[in-house]
Amino acid sequence: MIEKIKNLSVGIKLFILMIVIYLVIGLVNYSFFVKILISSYKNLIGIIPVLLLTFLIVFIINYFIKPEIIKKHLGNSSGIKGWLYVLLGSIFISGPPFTIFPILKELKGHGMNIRYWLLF
Amino acid sequence: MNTALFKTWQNIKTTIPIVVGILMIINLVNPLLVQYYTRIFTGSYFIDPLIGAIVGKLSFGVPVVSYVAGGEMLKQGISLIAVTSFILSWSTVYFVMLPLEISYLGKRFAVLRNLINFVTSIIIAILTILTLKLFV
Repeated sequence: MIEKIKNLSVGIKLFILMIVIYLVIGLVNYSFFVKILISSYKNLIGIIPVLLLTFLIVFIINYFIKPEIIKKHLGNSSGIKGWLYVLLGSIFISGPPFTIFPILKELKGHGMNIRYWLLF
Repeated sequence: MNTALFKTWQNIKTTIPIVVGILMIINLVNPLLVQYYTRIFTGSYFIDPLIGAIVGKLSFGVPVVSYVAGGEMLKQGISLIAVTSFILSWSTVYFVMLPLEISYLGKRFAVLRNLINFVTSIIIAILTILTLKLFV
């Protein structure tokens, strides 16, 4: 059992931990539990379109953009042009971190330089 | 096509549980935190930016929400330097999002970035107010 829990990903562990915490809160203070459960549900429904868009962008990066293009424009030797692309991109793509991190991860996998992560 | 779909599915599997878990943390912490926003500031020019940055670091939302919260804090009489620090920290330091950032961008990167942004949010808040005083 403990081995199985150890092998779970960080996300699943966090999710299980939060369910346990919510259940404990439910036992201690039921009205607060209902309040935070409803607001969690509403927030989750609210972010579904944003998440769908994020995964669509991730798919587009994986399917259409070749690593050579990313390496050329956002790689180690892209210079000032890379800075400009990332600065413009970060100005126009303004969203919560959970939309940015998955996209940055895919761009990293395609050869994006670490300095552009920070800039973004 | 299959490779792109597989990679996207892997990304979805990593993201969804963390995002749901983090949303649950935020909805648990924010209602407790919001009622103390106006009470925890001291009026000190040295301590308030630090408190503003800590509160901003623990809060979460798109930057637009921080402007509304910041406006309310100003109405309550909280100093502009604390509110500036709060807004800067809100939009650059994602303490509650740390598990997500670590899983995507690595522990060292995530921790260092958040620490540096936390310190600079205080410094930039002080510099912003000093600059404003030069022109007003």
